[in-house]
Amino acid sequence: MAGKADWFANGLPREGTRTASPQIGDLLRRDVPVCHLGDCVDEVLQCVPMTDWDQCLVVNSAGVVLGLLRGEAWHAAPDAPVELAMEAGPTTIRPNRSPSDIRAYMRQHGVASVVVTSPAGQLMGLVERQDIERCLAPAVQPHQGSSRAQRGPPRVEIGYKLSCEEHSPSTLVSHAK
Amino acid sequence: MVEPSGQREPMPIEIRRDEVCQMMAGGAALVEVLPAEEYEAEHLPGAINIPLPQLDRQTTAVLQQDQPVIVYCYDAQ
Repeated sequence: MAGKADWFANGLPREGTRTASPQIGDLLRRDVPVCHLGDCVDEVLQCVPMTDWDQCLVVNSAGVVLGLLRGEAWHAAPDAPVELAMEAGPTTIRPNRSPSDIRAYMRQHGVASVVVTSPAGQLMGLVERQDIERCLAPAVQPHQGSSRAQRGPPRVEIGYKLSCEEHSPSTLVSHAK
Repeated sequence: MVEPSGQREPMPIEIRRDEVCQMMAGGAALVEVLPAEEYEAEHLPGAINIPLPQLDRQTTAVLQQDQPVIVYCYDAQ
């Protein structure tokens, strides 16, 4: 039986005095590219640079995060399936975590971004450390999104968009063949 | 539970998030039974607060009898 903890962990609306404080869900980048296990690395690699991202999340048909393609993974054999090249099971967090907690985690582990999912593992987006740092910076100026956010969603449409639900990440490679 | 009138009261059923959304859209009432401080800090949109120790006929009189009532706390624990 789920209660309000589950509701907030899914990034659903909330009311109350605590809503004045931002949560990770408020800083999400939802336009992160995604691909699937059976895609070829080369196929994904051709598409990702055109989205302003340097990484790509691997999801199943239900949108559950399975892995992450970035860094060394791009040097895998071009015809290798994503499944063999990806970092399996990346660390994920829920959208109702506090930015200060996640900033501490990111600083400690030296990571620039973290994957945000629902409790069921479905991709919600990705949060970047630069956005968190900006959010938590002394209030010299109002919070602004990152340059990526200001530019909006990817300017280049690649392949097919399989899932067009609100907040759905962009699907880079389609299996509707 | 059987009322003094002999009528049987509907028993509570467990529902999920999507059902909560549907029922809220249909006019169901939301009641958080956690302490007032926790409710004030953060609660579901539109919920009212009736802390569990205060949950009785008098405090629930504000609820419409002909509408479903969704009662929630923090989690399953």
